[in-house]
Amino acid sequence: MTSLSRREFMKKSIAATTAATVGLPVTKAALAQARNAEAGWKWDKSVCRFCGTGCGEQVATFEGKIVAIKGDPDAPVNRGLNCIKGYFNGRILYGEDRLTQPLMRMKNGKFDKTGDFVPVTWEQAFDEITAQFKRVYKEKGPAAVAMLTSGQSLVQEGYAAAKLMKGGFRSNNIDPNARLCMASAVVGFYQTFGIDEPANCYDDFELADITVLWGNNMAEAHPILWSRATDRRLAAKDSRIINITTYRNMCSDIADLEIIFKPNTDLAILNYIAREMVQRNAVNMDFVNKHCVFATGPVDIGYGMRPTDKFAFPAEKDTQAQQLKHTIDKYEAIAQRRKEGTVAETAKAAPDAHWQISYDEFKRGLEPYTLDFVAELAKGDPDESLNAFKNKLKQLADYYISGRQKNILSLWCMGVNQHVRGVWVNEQIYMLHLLLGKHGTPGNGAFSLTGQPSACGTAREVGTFSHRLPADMLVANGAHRARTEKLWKLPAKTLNPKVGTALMVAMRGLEDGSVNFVWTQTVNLFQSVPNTNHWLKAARDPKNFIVVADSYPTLSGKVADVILPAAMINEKWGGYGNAERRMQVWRQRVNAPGQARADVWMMLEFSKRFTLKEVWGELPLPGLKVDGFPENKMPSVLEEAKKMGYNEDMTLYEVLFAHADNKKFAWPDPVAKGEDNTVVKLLGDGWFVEKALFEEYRQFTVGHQHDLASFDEYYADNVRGLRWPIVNGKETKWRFSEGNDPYVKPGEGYNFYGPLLKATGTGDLDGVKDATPKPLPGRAKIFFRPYAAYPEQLSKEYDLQLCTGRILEHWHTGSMTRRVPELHRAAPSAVLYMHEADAQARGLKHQDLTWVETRRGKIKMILDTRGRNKVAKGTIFGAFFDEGVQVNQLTLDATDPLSLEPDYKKSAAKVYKA
Amino acid sequence: MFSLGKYDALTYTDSRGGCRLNYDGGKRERTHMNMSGILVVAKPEQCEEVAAALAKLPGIEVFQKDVESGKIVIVQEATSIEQEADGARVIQQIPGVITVNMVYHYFADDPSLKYPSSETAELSSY
Repeated sequence: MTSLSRREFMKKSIAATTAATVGLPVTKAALAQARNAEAGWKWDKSVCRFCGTGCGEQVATFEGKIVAIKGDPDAPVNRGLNCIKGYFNGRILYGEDRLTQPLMRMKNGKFDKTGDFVPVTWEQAFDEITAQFKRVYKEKGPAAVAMLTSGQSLVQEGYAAAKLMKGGFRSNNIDPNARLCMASAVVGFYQTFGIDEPANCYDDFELADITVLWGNNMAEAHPILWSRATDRRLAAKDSRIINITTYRNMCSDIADLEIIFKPNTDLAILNYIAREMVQRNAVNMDFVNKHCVFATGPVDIGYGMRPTDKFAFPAEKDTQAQQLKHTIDKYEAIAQRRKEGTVAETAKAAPDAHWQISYDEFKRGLEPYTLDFVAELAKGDPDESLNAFKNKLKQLADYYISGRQKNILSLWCMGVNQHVRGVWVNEQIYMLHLLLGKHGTPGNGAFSLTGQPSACGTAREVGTFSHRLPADMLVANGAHRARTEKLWKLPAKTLNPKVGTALMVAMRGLEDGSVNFVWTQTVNLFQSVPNTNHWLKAARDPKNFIVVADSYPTLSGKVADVILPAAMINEKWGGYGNAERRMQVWRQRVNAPGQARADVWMMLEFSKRFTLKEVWGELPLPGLKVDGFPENKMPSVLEEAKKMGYNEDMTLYEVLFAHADNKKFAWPDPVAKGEDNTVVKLLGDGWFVEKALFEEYRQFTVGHQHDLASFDEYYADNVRGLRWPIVNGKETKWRFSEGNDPYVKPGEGYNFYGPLLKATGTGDLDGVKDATPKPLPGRAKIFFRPYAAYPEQLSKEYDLQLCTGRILEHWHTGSMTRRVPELHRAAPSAVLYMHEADAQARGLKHQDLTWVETRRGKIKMILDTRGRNKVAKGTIFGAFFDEGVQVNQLTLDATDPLSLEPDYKKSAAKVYKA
Repeated sequence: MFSLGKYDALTYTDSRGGCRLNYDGGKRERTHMNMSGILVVAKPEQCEEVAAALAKLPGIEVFQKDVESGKIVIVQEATSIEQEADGARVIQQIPGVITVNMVYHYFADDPSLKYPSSETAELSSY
């Protein structure tokens, strides 16, 4: 065949497969031809490695390489479709700049912090990493070392890293980049339901009559879910989509109602809707009385910044001072029933404290949130009339209160979570659905979406956070530690009861000297954490040692001391858990290039370099003060270990990983169906690492409301992931409601059985009156949370509101660079969205090169006044994930004080011509 | 601020947002053929206009359309995945387009599919 006719043949085949996948008519002949085009290929199921949607893929290999990817038509999540990110699943393995060997900074043949990167062997890299780890660990103990992982880490990788850190090194300083995207959702779940992860599932997209997006640009962030929502909108003529956002985005093209609001005023809008529910007698009192209680917490909780300005740049000090003292503005005065100008002493209360209140107190809290007040506070587009905005708010309330026959689905993601009051907003969205009694049933619910492919499955469910243990257990809870020690066969008191460093705290720790060793996996933190100028510099402090394991060179790699080449998705065995509790798995299909290795292998190899006597003896732990533990140190557990049959010269590899129970899972295994396992081959001791670790992890889940299926069940040919809890072989679509959730007994109707934070004191809006814990079995909490302003308000000097986020066009930069090559040379692909009037007022025009400056730094960006994302006057928007533009040099590192998740969306900036 | 050493010369990747590959045009391999089957969903009343607009785009062939549902099946050819993704973004901006869904992506190193040099220029022009 000539190349042209072969191309025509391939194109026709691809068109036929595509049409068949999406349910359009195709002739038998065309399908037969399509099959011929794929002769010799091996197809197998896999999962997209990019966002939290969890799209099923079919991956084809031929002669040891991946040659094609298609959306899996049998995958219920995406039914054969992929978004643009799908393009990167296959070729991503074959980039020219893949890391293929360990690199270390060297001078004169040995490690030197000031040296250049030189290729080294794995042995050399491990020797240096181990020596540096032991230097820090011996001197300062487990609180000075940190492992920073990812919502893209595979379930087994996260499990191995968490077990090594917590069970081996007795350090809770493991935290994932999911802290940057999902932590606020997690605390919202804990406080409201006592258990993490959504009650709803993707089936709701086809069952909802009204779909409300709260600061969630789904069209760009979750295109496949958006296609399901828009399909529903087109198919059901009476269905509606509402887009509540701080700037006009692609979702508005389809939305029936678009509401542009000012940052942080979502808090007020949600209270307005709740107030309307009360006023219009729309509260489902029967549901509320049976299944809920009302609650609230302290108001002055600060902004998750450091309490000292010792490390602040001079220009940052005024913003930083807000952490300790905040003056109540005129809107907060009304919203919080206080006097304007009051100086609130912030950060004194425990931010996560909360107590039960009466329904009357709840209503009293809502009282100030009238339409007039909220409209004046929240209107986000200066060009919109107040009346028009009021009408929209009223319509929004009408939609929520549209009666029992209408199903309503509320969706959110980063807009709510990356928010100095993100936990509160999560809780308020649950508030609306609980008041209506419309949660966790088909088509009804408040559904927290997620950003990364296994932020749920790995980071949250396995528990790679600094406060968590597997299956929703907590390090601070003695009973949870005891259960974990039992399952992990550890001596009592091996586990550290003190919550470790959250990601932002670990980064600050590099600067303030409390953390000196950081190992990152599958995460580019020195680009993605806010206020990066601090951490980039701290990484190069001679006392600090940074290990970056990744597949490609990153900015984080540039400031590291050792770079470890990591295997990717189909180069290893693994599983991901998506936003609807669906665990999905894949096989290793191809070999990683060069010496790139799976993260799980790195963890296991590293564990061979530590004996029990180095880690299970007495260790310093400054600040530890917990009943049953000595002060400021972790006790030796070596004697207890010996009684359990361990000896002090055994390695952590033998004790934690290659123990007898795990070695029962032998490789080869029929589940492999002829595929390889490089991790097993490299370790050389014959156990099926990924299966053994999965089955060990699974023990935490079964019977504890998180029941996973067995490893082999997920690999069955007809399974495309399963939604937990999986009880008696049946998955669960909706949690907490009778008939849907196996943990709800007949006759209960609902049971919010989550066990965490279930007993609280009681009081009123202003505080606790009776601290006696009052249990609330089976009930959810409906929180009253007031409006609060964000810390860095606009000023004369910094007069524009800088929001950051993910935009499809600039998710990858090629499109911009092709359009404006001359500007590409000046500043690759930097784009700043601004309203035309704001540009004119500054003497700027479309495509000008500008400086964008905040108190923390300045960068060059290209002005765009015509983009599809239309910002209102006073707001500017810079894309986040673009390595040409370090937007996070500009962003404030304030966090939600409960979740410690940064708020990337509210920094004050100025813009001028470059 | 501080020396990044030799490593500074390398390009780097954001592994969280999406793993970009090297976009330096000089380094890009020209022999790859990327072909993708794409489902474009248009507002049904604008289906014909969208299909006509699609047919005018370089590297794109319209194979099938269903006016009732607004579904259009196209195949896009490009010399790199960057071009593939950019092409999909261009489609997304056509008025009347609701979603662009990649369904099938073929990217084998297949020497028999090497582009004649004259075509490379044409295909990389958008």
